[in-house]
Amino acid sequence: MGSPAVVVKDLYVKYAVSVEWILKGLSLNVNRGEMLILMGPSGCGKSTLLYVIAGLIPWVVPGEVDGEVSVEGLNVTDLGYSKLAGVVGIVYQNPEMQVITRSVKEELAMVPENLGLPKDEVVSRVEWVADALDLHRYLDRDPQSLSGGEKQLIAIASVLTMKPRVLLLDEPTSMLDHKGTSLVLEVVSQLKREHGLTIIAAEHRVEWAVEVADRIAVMHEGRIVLIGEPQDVFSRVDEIEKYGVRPPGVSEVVYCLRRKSIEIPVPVRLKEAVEVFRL
Amino acid sequence: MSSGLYVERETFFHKLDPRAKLVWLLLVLVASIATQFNGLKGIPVFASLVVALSLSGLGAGLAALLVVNASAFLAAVTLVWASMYSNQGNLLFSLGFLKITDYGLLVALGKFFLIICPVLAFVVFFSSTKPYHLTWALERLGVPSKIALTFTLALNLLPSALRAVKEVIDAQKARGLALDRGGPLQRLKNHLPIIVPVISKLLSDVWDLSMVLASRFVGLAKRTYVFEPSWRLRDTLFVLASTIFYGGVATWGLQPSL
Repeated sequence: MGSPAVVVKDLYVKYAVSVEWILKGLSLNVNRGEMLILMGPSGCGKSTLLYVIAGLIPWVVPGEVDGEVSVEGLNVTDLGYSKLAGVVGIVYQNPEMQVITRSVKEELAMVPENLGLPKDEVVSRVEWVADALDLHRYLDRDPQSLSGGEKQLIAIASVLTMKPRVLLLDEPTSMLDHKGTSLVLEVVSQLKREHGLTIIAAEHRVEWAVEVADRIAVMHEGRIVLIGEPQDVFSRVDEIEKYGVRPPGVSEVVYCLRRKSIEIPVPVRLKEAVEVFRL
Repeated sequence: MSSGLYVERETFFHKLDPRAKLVWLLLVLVASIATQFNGLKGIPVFASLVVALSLSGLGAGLAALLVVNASAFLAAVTLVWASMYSNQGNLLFSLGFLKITDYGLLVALGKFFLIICPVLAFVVFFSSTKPYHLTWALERLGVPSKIALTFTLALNLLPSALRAVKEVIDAQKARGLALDRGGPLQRLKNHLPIIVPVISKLLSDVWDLSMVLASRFVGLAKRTYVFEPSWRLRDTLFVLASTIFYGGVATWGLQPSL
């Protein structure tokens, strides 16, 4: 995995309107090319952590940040989001508010245009992302005619045109239907598989998370309470349920059997469950 | 985000450079102001806008629809303005204490055109100009990048706001809210459960949008435009023809008529 792309040390964060700290002494290292999935109940601080890493707090969202956050060696709390172009990109929950223009081509060109890049570079980046995510069939379409999943896909592509080294995804499927969710998750998996991006995602879909994540971090009340490989984290069913995270369905079933004194290993993936039940 | 006012078509107005359309818009405003005291002189401006609606793919039917919908407004304008000029011109008829003269009617019609003509011109302009090109044109006119984009986004948010109102009304109706029950005061009161959720949704949308714009680096550097429109011969001819036509109408409108 190499050296850390993201380093968070003893981070305390609160919004201007908060009385208490939202993040309380959180520390985290994410290696280059690693995919870390943040899980935890609403309000545990997942989005806040992503906003700090993206340099949005306190630069766009007023708040107080104490501690160290660096991305690719850059101190983001000192530099702010505007100095992180090409370093960090963030995709939000709501696809409707992330697609701004009236043509997909214009949407994809927006970020490099805003960065003031030369015209041929803007065009080359649009072509690159269209090739990478197979978006050519969408280029001349009006984004308003696309489904929620397709819009989210365009939002991800739009962020990728700045060629970020770290991609942050703030619950990108929470407002999508099943089809849209599959579309987006497939693209995110592809980005990790084929482009080696460092990805930090807040996401609830555990079955997907166990397949693609290198590590899972469970957050609770502003802290990371569990972190490790999906197998390690999700096999601790009692513990993660206590923190408001639903384990994969297969793990839950096997855990129920274990409670009835049937001693079998806890699988986290369907294929592992098949193997377990063959025994 | 939202559909905005732009309608994707391949019409004469859609093909024009946004700067040419801005000049045309300005000329319509000038001609409407210049003819505001004589409705007869405002008729050519109105007629030109009916043609413009057709050439922008919206159709003259829309102009008719707007005028029909505005008929109550026209009647009110006529009564107010005609009565203000009851001492000038020849008396045509009396409505109680209101005395309507020919001069008063001309002024009233002129004032009506002063409102309706710019409205139609803006409809033509915004429905035929891509938000991208509008932002570009505003920047070319010296408007700062952030303000140009904010203006365009604000225009796009209008239909979005209307949609939000409809969504909230539908949701509240599904929960048993009866908006059309009771007298006028009660009906106004019935709308209260809509106001808070609508404001809350709009604030939330604007918050989301501001985060998106910041993380897309809007206003960070001088923006490059790769899909710039180009000024062609038809734009020059259109501006020339518009200047001659609206300039002529404006000059005519400024001459004393009665």
